[in-house]
Amino acid sequence: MKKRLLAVTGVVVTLAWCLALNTKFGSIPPLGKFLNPFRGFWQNAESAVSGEETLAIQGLKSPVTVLYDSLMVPHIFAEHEEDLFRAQGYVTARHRLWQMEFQTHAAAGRISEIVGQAALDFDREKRRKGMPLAAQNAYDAMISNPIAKMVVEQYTAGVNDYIQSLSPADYPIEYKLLDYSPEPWTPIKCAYLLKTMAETLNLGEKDIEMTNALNVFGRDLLDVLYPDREPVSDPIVDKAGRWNFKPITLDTVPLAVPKDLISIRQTEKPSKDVGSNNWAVAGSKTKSGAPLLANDPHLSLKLPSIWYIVHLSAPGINVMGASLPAAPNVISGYNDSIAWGVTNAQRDLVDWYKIEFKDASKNEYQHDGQWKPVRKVIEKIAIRGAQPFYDTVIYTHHGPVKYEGTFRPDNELKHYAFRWISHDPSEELMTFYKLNRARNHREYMDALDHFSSPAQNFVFASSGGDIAMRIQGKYPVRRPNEGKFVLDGTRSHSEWQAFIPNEHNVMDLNPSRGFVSSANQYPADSTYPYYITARSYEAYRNRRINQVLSGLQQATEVDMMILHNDNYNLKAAESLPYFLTALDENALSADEKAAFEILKNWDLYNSIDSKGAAYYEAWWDALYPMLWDEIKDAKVDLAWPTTFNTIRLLKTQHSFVLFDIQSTPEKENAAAVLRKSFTEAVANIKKWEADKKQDVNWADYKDTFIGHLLQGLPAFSYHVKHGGNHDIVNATSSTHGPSWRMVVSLEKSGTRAWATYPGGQSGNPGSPYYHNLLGHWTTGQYFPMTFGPSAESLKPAARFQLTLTPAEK
Amino acid sequence: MKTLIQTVTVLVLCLIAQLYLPWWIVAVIAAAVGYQFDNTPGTSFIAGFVGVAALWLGYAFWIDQQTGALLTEKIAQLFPGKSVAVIYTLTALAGGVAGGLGGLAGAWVKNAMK
Repeated sequence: MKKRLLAVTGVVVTLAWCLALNTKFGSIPPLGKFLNPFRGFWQNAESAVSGEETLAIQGLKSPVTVLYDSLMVPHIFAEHEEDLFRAQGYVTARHRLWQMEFQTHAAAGRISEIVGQAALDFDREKRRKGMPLAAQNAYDAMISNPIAKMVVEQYTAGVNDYIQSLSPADYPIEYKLLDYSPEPWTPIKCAYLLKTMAETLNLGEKDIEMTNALNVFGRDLLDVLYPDREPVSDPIVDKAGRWNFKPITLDTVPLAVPKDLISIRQTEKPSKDVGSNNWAVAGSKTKSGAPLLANDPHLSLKLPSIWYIVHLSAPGINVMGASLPAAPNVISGYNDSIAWGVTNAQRDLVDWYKIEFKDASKNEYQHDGQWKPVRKVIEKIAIRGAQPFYDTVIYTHHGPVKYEGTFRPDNELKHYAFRWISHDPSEELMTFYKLNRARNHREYMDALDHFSSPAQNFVFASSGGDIAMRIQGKYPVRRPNEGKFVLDGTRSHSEWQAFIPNEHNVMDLNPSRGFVSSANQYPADSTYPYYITARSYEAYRNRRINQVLSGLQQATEVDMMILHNDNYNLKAAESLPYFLTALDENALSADEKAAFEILKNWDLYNSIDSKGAAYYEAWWDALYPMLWDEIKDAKVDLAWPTTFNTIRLLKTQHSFVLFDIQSTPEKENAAAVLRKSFTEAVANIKKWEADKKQDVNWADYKDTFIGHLLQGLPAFSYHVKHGGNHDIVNATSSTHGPSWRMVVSLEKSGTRAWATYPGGQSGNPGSPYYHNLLGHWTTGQYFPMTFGPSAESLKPAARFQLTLTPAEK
Repeated sequence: MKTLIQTVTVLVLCLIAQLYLPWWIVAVIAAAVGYQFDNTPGTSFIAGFVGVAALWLGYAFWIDQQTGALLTEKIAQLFPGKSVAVIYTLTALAGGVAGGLGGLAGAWVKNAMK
């Protein structure tokens, strides 16, 4: 009996141990699985690759050669374009599968499936803003175009070729940490990726905040706080009086703005640090006589990096540059004849409409005197370890009623539907397909005709000598002030009734100044005949870039790189001298006196070791919320004035009514707030110095962090010492910055390019190529890109060769 | 001697099986070997533990040699102590205890059948 008991005990304990170590507890991975060297994390450790590999792939038309250079950049040479996109899907997944799936899961509101209940609000937000609708419409448009269909289906097949080749031991490490498996890739995931870019780039709006501000501050104050057009020159395209077309006009109707305060607490908006620089310099201003082009998109700095460098070559195409994992084609790059790059076009492409439901059932809503039925979509959100959550999303013809019911509602009588350009069908994929092959300005223009969202400033240069800029997107024609506030959703006349024709969009070719540039500033001079509004326009980087480019002669690629990394703080140049006049030297403490001296002697560059930059930025960070305490502490969301307008008001309206700090009995003016915020800033720096046990310097104080996509998991993330900041050409803030830096010289003898990004080609933290580009990026250096027309010409530079061959059926 | 043979048998069989099967197969193998060898339960535990722990540690060590322990150092940051030694210890324990318990269970089942 005792022996039997022991036998049973032994078996049960063994099973219990195995079961326990096969189970994920909270954030602890299943330890038996995870630590097993045959299948666990150990299998993800990699060393530098070399040699050759051949893989048989079913359905390939002919063999594809992939040469990986020393940076692990794949150079894909195919004989058929179907094979080219298949190989792009395959090689991208080979380096970035987990990221591709995670980002598209996030876009689709499917993170709860992976991490459980904690992500439910995140997922609901995605569903309720209509991401599934946007992706479905994009997908429908893709598959109804034979070329786009071929591209996305081949790419999908390539990703699936890779997924099917994996055994659990090969899964990227994040799957092992979170204990799940990759699912098959589908074309709609490519649509989700493009729509999540649109979410980052074209969802900037402040309609609810402006409506509240109008009702709290009144019209007069509103115009002072948030002017439509700030008195700062240098639009992207300045063709005053030369907009030679007859604009579309709408019938005049008075603007009806709801009078109520909207108490919805909105979900997080895209960061204002998202932006970009791009420019092209004509051959007349360069040393080689060939145009130079530069681009650096400023996005959230993450690992694995948002970009993946790829070279795609097949008959009719030879293109290289930055691609987005999960999207076919090259997004910012160059070929044998042209180069192009993108920055975000600041434009209001979101409107909120006040809806009147017939009754509490919310089945019908008022529109032009009729009750129209809503469309209710039941979103099923799978949750790991729990029952699925069913969320009903109400769609009107405007778009979804995002905040309602159990999701951050206002009250049950007030509802707002959300109209977003990115819900509309569009075919961005065709733009990049054609741009990748374009040989001249005409073909670039043709490619851009397909592009509607997210609106971008496309810079262009060709070896033929042209430079160009085009601010391309699908923009509603607006009446003055329309789009700034919540609109009346019960009548059709305030809806988007027409779109600006492509040929009326802001564009320029070979301007006489010898360069084109964009940095998210106001798009056009004041004679452009359409009303334009946006959440905000950039005020500093663009002027600094134009100032430097204007002064350049005999420019080389090195000048472009220096400008990318330019840390000159124009904002400080325009504000610090005034700020300092507010301080009374004799009334300062010893620490403040020292800070005052540092600031007075600062060279105005946000360089790595600068103390002045640290004090100035700390001062600004204390000043801005103190100045606008009425906005910060308001019971409803209010719009914030821009940096430029804040400084302008400080300098010109010394006793502006809102400068008063509400929580104090005194009546503060600009100088008083400057003094108080200066004291706070110095105290903040001194506390930082005490905590860190070191003297302050700008880079350490700013602490730029490149975080892994899994909530910045420290083991897979890096802190870097880098200068710059938002509002500076080198726009590296603590979380955002140049996510891709590219400089291209369009020489007749062949395109030459230099690039870097803060990461590495491999998404695997266990690979030497996970962050091998980061060091160069941090120090402002570039890698010369290996580029050429044929596999033969690149073989000497190849470290590893992958050959994909058609499999026998 | 018989203990050593049992240990090596566990190690070799686990190595082969692990190429194809999930990690917990080590417990099954240690149990089967323990049953077959008919050593004392204590000996069988040790043979199972050492057989699997040595295999896992050895393979892990070999991988680290190949890759400069690039990943192990990062994974160590996720665990208490933040040291590679912790990862090795946990790896040895996770596999070793599974093997040891399997060996013990095998021996006890064998005893119960007598």
